[in-house]
Amino acid sequence: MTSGREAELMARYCDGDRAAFDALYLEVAPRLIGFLHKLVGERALAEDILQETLLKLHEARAFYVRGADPVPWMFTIARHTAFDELRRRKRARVRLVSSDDGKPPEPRADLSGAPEPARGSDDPAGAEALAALDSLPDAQRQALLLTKVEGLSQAEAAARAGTTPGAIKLRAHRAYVALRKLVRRG
Amino acid sequence: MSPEPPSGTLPPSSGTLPPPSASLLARVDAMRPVRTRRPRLEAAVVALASLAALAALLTVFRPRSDLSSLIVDGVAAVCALVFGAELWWALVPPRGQVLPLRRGAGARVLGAWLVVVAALVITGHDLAPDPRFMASARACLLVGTMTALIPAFLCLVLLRRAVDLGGWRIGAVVGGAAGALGALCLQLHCANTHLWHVVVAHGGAALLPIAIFAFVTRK
Repeated sequence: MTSGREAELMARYCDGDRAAFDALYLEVAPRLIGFLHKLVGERALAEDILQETLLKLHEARAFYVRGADPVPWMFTIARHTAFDELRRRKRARVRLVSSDDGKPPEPRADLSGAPEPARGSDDPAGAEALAALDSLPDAQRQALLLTKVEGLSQAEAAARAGTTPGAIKLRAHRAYVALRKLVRRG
Repeated sequence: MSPEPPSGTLPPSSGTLPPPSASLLARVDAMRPVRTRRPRLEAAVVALASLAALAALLTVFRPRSDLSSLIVDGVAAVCALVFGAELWWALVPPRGQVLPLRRGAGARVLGAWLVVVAALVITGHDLAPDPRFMASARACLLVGTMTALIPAFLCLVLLRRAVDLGGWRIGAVVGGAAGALGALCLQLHCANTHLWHVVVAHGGAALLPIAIFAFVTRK
């Protein structure tokens, strides 16, 4: 497919044509997934970032200039979304492994996800996060706790949960994203 | 700057294609037609609005007393040209592209600013020391920066979907255009001909918005 065809599909998508969105998705999403997979190294994460990229594209479609090739723009959105997500994950990892005295943090929830009243009123953000943990689906909460709190590898967590490492990776990521949204909203 | 990989260079992913998420499909199902960008029209509107605002500001701040003797002022013409060029770079993408990002944005902005400063220097000014240098420089920086806010605000509203993708480069180009308008305003308002005042205050008023908006839009 030429960029002229993609430009035409994008223009029809901006005009509200649902079929044009479907055609554009089928044409561009495989290339974006390949690009993102190479960038982040995880298929599940690449799929999540693809969805976020397409949401951003949808919200920004009024920025499109008719006649222009939309694909480089899509790749730019995808790359920035991926880098933002990688930065967030890196920051989250740093927060998880660091504490004031340099020691690793104590687990603050049991495997059922029931929050402990650990640090009390001096850490409202932590209490909020633990409360938000309760609202996650069981499978996601379990994956998050096994990998992020217990520190198990994906293979170990998968064995513990009776599923595959890929599923654990996906569930933990989705739980993390949902948790972040819940805490922000709160 | 190499922000956009060329289309069609990446092989498709080997895995199966995931379906669009439910939230995306819900939005697509509910979508309405949108009016897409018309960058040339936007550039023209911003230019006209900025020049109208400049005229309004000059009636408030008063034009310089010797304005009528400046039949064709080279510095004002250079500032106006730089304003037009940088406004074009800021709003109009290269042919066939969506994002108004160009290679060497930083060098372009710096080069355009140097053109303004060179025009200020070579037009010949009073070399005697200015006894009120600080006060007059501060006032000119304030007027120039206030003028610059108008096109900068308009451009950033129009480019809000690109600022996240273009980062400081978009901010610098927008600031360059805005600063050139600020320098144009000062050239028509301020009759101080001391060289250091003109270079530091008027040149600074062209530079300050570049730094401010590059900083504001950085990732």
